[in-house]
Amino acid sequence: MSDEKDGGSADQTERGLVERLQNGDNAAARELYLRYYDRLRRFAYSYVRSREAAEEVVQDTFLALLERRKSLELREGLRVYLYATVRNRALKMIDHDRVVDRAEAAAVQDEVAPGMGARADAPNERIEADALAAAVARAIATLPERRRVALVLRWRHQLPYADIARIMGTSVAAATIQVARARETIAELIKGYTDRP
Amino acid sequence: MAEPLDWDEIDRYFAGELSEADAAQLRRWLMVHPDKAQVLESVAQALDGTIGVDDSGQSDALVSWDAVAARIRSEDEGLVLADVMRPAVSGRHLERVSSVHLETSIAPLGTRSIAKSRNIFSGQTRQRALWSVAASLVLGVVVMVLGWTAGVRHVSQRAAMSMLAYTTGSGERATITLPDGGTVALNVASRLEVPMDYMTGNRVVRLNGEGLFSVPHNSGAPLTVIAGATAARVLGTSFVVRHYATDSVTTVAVRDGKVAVGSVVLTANWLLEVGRYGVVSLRSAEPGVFGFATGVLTLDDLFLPKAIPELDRWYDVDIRLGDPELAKRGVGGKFAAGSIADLTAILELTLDVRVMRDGRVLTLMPR
Repeated sequence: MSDEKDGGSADQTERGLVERLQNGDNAAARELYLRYYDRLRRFAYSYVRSREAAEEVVQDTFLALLERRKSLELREGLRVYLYATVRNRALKMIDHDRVVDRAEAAAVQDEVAPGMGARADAPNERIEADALAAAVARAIATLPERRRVALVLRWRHQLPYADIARIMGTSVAAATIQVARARETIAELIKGYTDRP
Repeated sequence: MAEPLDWDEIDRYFAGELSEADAAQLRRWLMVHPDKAQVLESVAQALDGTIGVDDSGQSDALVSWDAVAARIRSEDEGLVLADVMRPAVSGRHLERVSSVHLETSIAPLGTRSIAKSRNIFSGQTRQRALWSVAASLVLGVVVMVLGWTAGVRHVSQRAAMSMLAYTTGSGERATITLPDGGTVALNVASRLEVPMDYMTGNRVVRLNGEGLFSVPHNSGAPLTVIAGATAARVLGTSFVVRHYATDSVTTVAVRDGKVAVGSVVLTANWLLEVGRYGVVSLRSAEPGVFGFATGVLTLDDLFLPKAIPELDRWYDVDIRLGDPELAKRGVGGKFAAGSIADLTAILELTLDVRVMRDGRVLTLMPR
């Protein structure tokens, strides 16, 4: 992910690809898709918790980009546009009852899955690890969406606060506060695990 | 004493803001504090929701791009997506999409005549005769492709890659031989797109409709069938994929071998339905699921509103209800490919209705 922060030549290359994309270059569209596919799918998945739904969000995001490529003004850059679009589409999708139900089922599954089939023979360490994972999952689940996404974008996608703010449609200061509060919440909720000798 | 996590440092570490030396020092500290490392790992996993997206890779990205490209209709807007070029070739059973090269290795065995001519009460003799006709028509199709290709050289200049698209209309079925010897029995009103570079590793085909794939074992790279938003991957097997535009789910049923659909691996005689948001159902596959390839449509006691689209496609008709009350009636059983007269007789007999026919439009009236 360090390429995210390199700026310089990476950004220059991307700007060139975007320019070619807007001029109708198929190869550039493909290259950009391959560059962003995995991280956008992970980002979408953090919302929808369904592999198929995440895939759909990413594909729809790129289709929208391709359809509007000529008229689109990417003032904030392609990365911000793509993340913001994925977030909006994912939020829209999880409004749907079936996805909400599925996400809840997945969350429950996430909690029990690590020990399934092995719990009877698992050593204490394994059981503790499962309990820790469940506690962390619960802590993350308590975060308001804006705090969670700010933390996801900073910790898991290594985006600068300026981009996080643009994606969320807020100020840099507000994005910084969201991350700090998310950190505090998680640290407090899993204190029992982190403060052990 | 406990040595608590330094969350400021963790924040900069996760954000990639620590210097390489500081990051290395933190990693060393985590190695001697595995419980803390476990905490951070759990946090990262919880933020990602990584369960379920654990096998991402460039191959997934490529398959996904293929699916995106297939959804784009942008020729008129100037964006050249070579593998989705769809020049208008109305009325052609076999569409040649964008190359000037003739693919003699891909021999379509089915034409409109095959399915159209099969009779509901026909026997094997008639079937053999029709396949014989089909074989003789292959040459005709190839000639047609050559002729049409000559007229689209301007298209090929815009497109570097190409594919073959096989289509069947309502009432038509066809058997397609893939370049590696595998076959696809294409059901009615279906479309299969096979890339030209199939034999050099691009084994991603796209299906709209329904097809029974028989892929030889040990054929090298897996075959991926994209239908709707679902991808089914196989190394060698026989299976059905179905996704019509009107279907809310993509259905994959395995006759033998194994098929991977997302994280689910299907074995013989299992059927999976995948909807917009994931798996809808997993159940045993009834033999009738594979029957269309041999000319038999099986319906499991469907109410008429559900059954009519199936029958419309199968017989190339337009069935309408003359009385809304008829929507409460159900129909089921096996329907051999046949004529409209055959269908009319079946409907009148099984539904106790009067069928008023106007060309290909059949209006059902209560008796």
